Amino acid sequence: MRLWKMELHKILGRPVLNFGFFLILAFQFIIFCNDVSGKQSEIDGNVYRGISAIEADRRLAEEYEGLFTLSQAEQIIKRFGFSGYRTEDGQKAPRYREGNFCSQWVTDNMTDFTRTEKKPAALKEGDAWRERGRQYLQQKMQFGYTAGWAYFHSLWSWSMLLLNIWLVLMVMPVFSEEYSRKTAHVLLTTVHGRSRDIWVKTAAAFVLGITAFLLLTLWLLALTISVYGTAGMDASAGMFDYRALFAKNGGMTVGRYLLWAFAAKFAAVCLNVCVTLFFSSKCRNTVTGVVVRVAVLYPLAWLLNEIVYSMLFNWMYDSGLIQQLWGWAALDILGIVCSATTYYLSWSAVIGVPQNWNIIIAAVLTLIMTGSLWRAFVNYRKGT
Amino acid sequence: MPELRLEHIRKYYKGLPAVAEIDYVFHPGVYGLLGANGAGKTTLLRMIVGVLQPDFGRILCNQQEISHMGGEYRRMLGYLPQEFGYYPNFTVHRYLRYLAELKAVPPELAEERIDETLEKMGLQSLKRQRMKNLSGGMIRRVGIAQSLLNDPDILVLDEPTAGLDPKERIRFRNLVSELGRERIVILSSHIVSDIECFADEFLMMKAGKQAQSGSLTQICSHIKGRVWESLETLESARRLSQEFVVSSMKNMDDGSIRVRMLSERKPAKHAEPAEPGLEDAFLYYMTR
Repeated sequence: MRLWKMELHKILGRPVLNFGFFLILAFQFIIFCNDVSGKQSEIDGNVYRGISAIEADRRLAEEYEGLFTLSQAEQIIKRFGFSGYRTEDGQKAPRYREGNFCSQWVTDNMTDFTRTEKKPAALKEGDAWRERGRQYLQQKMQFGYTAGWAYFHSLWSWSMLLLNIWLVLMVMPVFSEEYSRKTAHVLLTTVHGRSRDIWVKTAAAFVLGITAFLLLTLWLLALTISVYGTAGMDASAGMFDYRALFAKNGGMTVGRYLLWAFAAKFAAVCLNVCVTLFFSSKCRNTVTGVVVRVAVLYPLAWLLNEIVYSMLFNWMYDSGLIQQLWGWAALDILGIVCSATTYYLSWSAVIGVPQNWNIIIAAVLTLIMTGSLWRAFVNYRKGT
Repeated sequence: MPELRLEHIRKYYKGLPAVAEIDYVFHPGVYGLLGANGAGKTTLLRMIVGVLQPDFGRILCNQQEISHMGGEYRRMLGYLPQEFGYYPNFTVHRYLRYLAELKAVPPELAEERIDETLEKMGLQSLKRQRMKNLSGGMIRRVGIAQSLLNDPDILVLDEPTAGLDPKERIRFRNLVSELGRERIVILSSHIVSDIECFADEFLMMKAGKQAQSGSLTQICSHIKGRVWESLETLESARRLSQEFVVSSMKNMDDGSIRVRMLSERKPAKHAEPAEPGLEDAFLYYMTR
């Protein structure tokens, strides 16, 4: 236990970097407050702003809670009209969104109004209805006030990107600094230096990563609940993440969605810690290690998914190779690899993947994490 | 009583031998490992402490191969590397506490051992100082202190006296002499005078090979008759230094120069044979 505390003390003994974590929390707070202060809701001729707008929207959404039907959508439009963007007098840029949570949701998800600014004669018209609107009804979507959770998840995902970079900065020195400070020379000749201490260092890095993740999540959760309340947990997560409407046998509630997101983001942190420890054990210089790790942390995953996968998909589709077993198997493998990266896990991308991929992604993650830790162990033992 | 046996040890870096064929047995006592820079001393010491693996040969501790002993061998070991690394923000006490933990010193004994080693190294007053505030010599002393924390049977000190002031060198010599009674102490240096007066045996290395070994008397006896001294003028002293290996030149009161040199034959008309010292032997084997 004493050794564990000392290793944790070594990781945390960098005041400037520790400050970075509180900067992330402060960043969340500022963004969150800014969003809340900009809220506006128009209900039956009354205009609400800030927290009052959120409360008014929440009360209004309660009236439509439960299984969402076409008639409810029509009632909302009939009562509040379509929700567009209002331009302030003398200004060109639109500033305020018209309407309220309910009318905005129906307008955005079931009509083309915000794109075309043309009021459809009926809801069952336009691309939005054909592509998405009717699916909400077919998938038996449960309506509820999900604005808080949608914002929570979005801010959570963005913060994860910052947290993972911060974690790279904190975890990279675990082994690499022992080389660069030449302390490894002594540590590797001690009784525990080549065995227990390596696992203790690893455990300390994990404790840091997981604690930081939990603190960040709790902080954001506390902010969200204090302003938005807990309403909407039973509503369909598809209300704010269309993928969730079809994921996990449909009917994924917000509560279940957040649990999946939690698991994905937790996995992202663990994966990041493992891979960073591997880089740390390979790099003699901490700065080089950080540069290389950050370079592959997000850009590589993004390139793989957005460029390589898309190009491969288009090429296979055009050439007809996608019809062949190896063709779609290759695409699936690439898709699984992309989903099992820190970047896409941070965005909870696993929610949108086919259900049978989950077990494979879990297996791939386990393989990468154990492989990284094992190699880190072996590399560090080799020492200098 | 520990015994450390090196059998046909070889180590290569990029195909070039850093250590080539070393055979040696260490028993309790103080051993001085001498050699010029790049002679392979540090590589050999790193293999002895298990940080590096020999490419050929094996190292046995009490008849057991050290690579198979794992923690059991490291429990017997104290090591001060040539480049001693530390954590700048740690206090001396915290650093030693950390090392005591890694060296598996029982927690109830750790504080006592820390105080003891700090006392031995004259560092008591610096116990609460951050290591970044210490001078190079003080850091070196902390390094020696950490190597003693687990009361090791085998103490390996790579250039331990570098950066120590004369007073600290004397303290260190006395300490090592005391330690060498029951354990193996291996010291490396390229400065002969640093270890000449307290090492029991010497192992000289040249280009990774064992150039000579033995006690001071044994080593010096090998070059008996090859050390000469003579009083010369400045001009002849210059000529001799170009022709022979000169170990020292000293200006005398009468304006002449006393030249001490190594030669298989009488190097000058007035040259007289002199009693060889370790420095002469070192020069002899390094330049041969």
